[in-house]
Amino acid sequence: MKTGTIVNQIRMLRFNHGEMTQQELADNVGVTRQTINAIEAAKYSPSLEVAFKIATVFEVSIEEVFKYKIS
Amino acid sequence: MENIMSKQELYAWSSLGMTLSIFVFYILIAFGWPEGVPDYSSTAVKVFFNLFWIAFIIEIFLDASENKKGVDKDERDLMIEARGFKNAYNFLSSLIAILIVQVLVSKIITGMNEWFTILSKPSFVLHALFVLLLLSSLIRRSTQLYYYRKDY
Repeated sequence: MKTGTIVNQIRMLRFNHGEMTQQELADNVGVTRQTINAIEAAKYSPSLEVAFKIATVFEVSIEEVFKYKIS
Repeated sequence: MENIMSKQELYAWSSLGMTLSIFVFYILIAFGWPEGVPDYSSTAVKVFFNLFWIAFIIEIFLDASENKKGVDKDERDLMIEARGFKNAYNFLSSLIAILIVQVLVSKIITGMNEWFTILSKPSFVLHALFVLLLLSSLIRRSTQLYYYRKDY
């Protein structure tokens, strides 16, 4: 089975939403700023619930935030 | 801003400091300073006494402080906590199993060797259990800190 990585567009989406800070996003999602930082740096894969919450904050579909890239 | 620690990470650091201090105090009280090594016991006591109080004050402060806007603990903290508990549990359960076998073996062959008599004494088993508890707590906190620091 091919392996892949989860990439995300959170940094770009934050920039497009009035340069939203990590803390603001964290408060809206209900996680800590450190978790948003880890997700953004692709060092932590969030649960489906948190992924959907992030997409909801940016008013986009989950595929526009997270993508699974097969290497 | 990027590297400011979360509340849970600060908890892990303060708890590690407190447990380490208690561990050193216990070893010094129960077994004394090792022979053949220059005696720095008073310095060690001073250092770990200060470490204990600093960690204690940080923990009190963290308990008292409330995060009004955000959350203090989320799914990532819980996942890291679970990894810490897993490692601590594996360490503790395997070493307790070894301790039980050791007690049983030393009871059987107690007359053969003086060393086995010492190992089967209840005071030795109690010391060993307490040291294992402290070590497992150190492993738990160290694992948590490893995963928190790994992200940066």
